[in-house]
Amino acid sequence: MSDVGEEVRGASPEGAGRSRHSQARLVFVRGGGTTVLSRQVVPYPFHITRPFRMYPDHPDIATLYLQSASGGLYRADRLGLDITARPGSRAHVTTQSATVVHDTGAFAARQDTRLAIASDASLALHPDPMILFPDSALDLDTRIVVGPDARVIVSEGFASHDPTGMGRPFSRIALSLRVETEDGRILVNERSTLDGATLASPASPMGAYAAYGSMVILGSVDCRPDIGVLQVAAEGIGCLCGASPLPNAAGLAVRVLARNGGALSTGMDAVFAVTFAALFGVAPARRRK
Amino acid sequence: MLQRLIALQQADSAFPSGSFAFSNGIEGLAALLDGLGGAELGHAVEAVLRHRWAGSDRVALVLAHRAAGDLARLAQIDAAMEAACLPEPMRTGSRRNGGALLAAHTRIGTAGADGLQRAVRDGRLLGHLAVMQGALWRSLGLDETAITEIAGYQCATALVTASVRLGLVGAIEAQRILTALMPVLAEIAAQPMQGAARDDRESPDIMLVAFTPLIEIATMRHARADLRLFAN
Repeated sequence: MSDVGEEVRGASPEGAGRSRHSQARLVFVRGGGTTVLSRQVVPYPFHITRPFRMYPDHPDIATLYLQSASGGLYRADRLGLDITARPGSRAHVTTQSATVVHDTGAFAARQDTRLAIASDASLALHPDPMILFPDSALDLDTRIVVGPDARVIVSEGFASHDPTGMGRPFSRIALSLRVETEDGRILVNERSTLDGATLASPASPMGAYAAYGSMVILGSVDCRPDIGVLQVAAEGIGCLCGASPLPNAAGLAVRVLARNGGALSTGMDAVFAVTFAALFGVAPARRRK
Repeated sequence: MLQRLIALQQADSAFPSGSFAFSNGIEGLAALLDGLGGAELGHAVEAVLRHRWAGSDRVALVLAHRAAGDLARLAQIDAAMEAACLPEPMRTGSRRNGGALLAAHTRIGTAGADGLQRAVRDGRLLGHLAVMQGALWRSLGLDETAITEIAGYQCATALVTASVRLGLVGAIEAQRILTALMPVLAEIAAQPMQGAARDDRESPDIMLVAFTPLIEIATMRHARADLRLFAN
């Protein structure tokens, strides 16, 4: 499998002026009975910790914290994150806090995530939700290429939040998720958009909820968590959760709705814990905040 | 005149379209919200129309109509529908409803229905409802405006009719809700479609856009319910 790296994607929108373009790349490989980073390109605003070995009985699992050193996403930002998991590697990439998306004016921020998980590799990418401040616009585009017997957990989410307490909405969010095989067969291809004003209307597609999270769980039937257990895990935190098989036998889809970003983060963590245990064979270690 | 009569026939609830078996999330939503009154039902149907039907089913419908019977193109649109619909109950419901519509047209003798049914049976097509509607209604000579009106109207009435059968609202309240939704449907029907420009016939990347997490969660949970009236 080749790396998923491309050069920095997308030019600055015309009229946006100076904006940040940053492309991070991580490559996990299996070696010496564990998983190591064989390549890391981590330009500002990305920052990573060293890989931690948090499971004494599973030393092949590497846990990496991905952080932003800039305080969030801003107008016309173009951030890219490429992660490759080579055969046999097992990695968990997480964050230590939610990412704030500030007022982006006329130029949305964009974050592209490209994941390539080889045969018999496992990757969990479970960041905290995006917090959408008033007048922020964000495009999240995630593409996943999976090899045979790959095990993958990828989550994303957002919450609307006005720090002034005036209830001003974000501008819009666009979510795009594509899952395909190494030979290019598309298994999942979902696109969604929502503007903040709609979220505040009585006909909101999120009902009375202000925060939304989703997770895709890719892998063979024998490693998937029980749908009922996933739903109960989120419900225990006060979230509303549903799960179902993905198209083309790709795995499971999970949806979570919550009253706010904090509840969403806790609910998604509960779903993630069940899923990680099923796919990695061990309960996830408590994250350091 | 003839085309308008054919359109009325296709839109008529007496036509055996197979939609009676599906609540498309309404039954699950009523269970989630501990009931679903008239106002909440109107909002839920509006959300489905604006945030699923407009950018997804409507696009597939019109693209299938433009395919003019080209099975390879219909298969692309069908595959895009399949990949874009993550909740399994909605996905299988769409295929089963499409199959029921196709069966009715085959028995009636609609031109082209036999060929579509063979393609579904041998696996060349999946038979999603919007794709079957677009292909079959093209065979009947209906234009894009007419098929958009029929499919949009049927999407709304199916949800409202399911609510009446569930005893959530009465027949008069249901019609009040539908009346309020007519301007919404007209507004959506007039919207340009992402990914459905007339020159993108060859584009492999069909853009279907939807965001209805509340009713999707409702259908996912409904699928695990012990007792249910509808298939989804």
